[in-house]
Amino acid sequence: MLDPYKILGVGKDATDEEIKKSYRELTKKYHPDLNAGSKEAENKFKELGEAYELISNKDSREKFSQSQTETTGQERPFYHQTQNPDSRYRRIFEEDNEDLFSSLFRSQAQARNRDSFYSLEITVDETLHGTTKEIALPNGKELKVKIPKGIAEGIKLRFKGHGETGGDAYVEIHYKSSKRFKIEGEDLISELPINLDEALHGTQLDFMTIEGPILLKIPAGVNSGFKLKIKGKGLLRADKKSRGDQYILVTVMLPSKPDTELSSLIKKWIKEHPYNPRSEAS
Amino acid sequence: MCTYPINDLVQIYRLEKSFIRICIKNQWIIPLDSKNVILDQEDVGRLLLIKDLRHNLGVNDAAIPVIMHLLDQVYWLKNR
Repeated sequence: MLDPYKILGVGKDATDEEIKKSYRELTKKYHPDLNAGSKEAENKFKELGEAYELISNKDSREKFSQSQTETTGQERPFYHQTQNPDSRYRRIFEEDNEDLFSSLFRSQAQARNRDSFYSLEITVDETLHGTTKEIALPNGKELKVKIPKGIAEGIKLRFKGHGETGGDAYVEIHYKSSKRFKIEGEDLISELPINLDEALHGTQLDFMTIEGPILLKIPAGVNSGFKLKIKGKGLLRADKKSRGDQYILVTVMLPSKPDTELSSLIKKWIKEHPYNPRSEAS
Repeated sequence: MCTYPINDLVQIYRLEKSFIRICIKNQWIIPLDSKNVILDQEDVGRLLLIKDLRHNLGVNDAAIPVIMHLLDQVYWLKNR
């Protein structure tokens, strides 16, 4: 099986740039035209091309990784492959030669009144006002979980006597990204579309943060890609005292339908004030 | 011997952190190093089997420890 990372000599956490750099260096080295007559170089060159295609960008790397772990299963260790006389999990049987089922029933009996643990993913939006979710329990019953407003990630909610074997049920809360709040580590990323007038002249508007709405000031003359940082409006850090930040990514939007008046106005304006953003960028 | 911290497993095998935590809390897996949550190949093989049982075969959580216990016992008997 082709291991593109090995072929390109990069680590599994290599960036697009690192992969590209390595690919270019190796293709230079093994280019058939620079290694006249070498069949080996030609094969290596082809192999490099195939490998680069598999991991050249984030999307292709994700697809490749998925095909490795889910489709082909080549890399995953199967349970039976890990079973040998030294296996840690069956040491419990070594001391006790009872029959197949009695040890099972014994462990089930010991499990009685044990607590059960579940995890529940919610969006940051859902924490703004609180919500109610239902978890399907293995016994067929449903557990109604009332999520209070502003609940922090990692909090465990306890439901007395709702465990599978008579113990308590614990539901651990985890955050997941939503359209409005994308989670990146401890920071939240939100997108903000603005119109041409707001981009040119700036504006003030209400904007939602994890702690409620704030008055956000957009400066005049912003472009798409402009990032605003709101300090301390991200997720709670591990110290449970401070928060990450919220970043607001501005996108300047034209009207959804083409407007002839705006179009002719801009045509006239650009003739009198020509500028090339590409030359500015370079 | 290959060992993995949780974050590596999330990347390599596309397992969710919350799923791994649930498996540990329910004692379906007992990490090689419980204090620092370092797992070995045996833990990983177990985790991936539990994932298959739950997600691909529709096995409910109550049946997971029963299946794992019987499997462990079958392999123990096989190696006796």
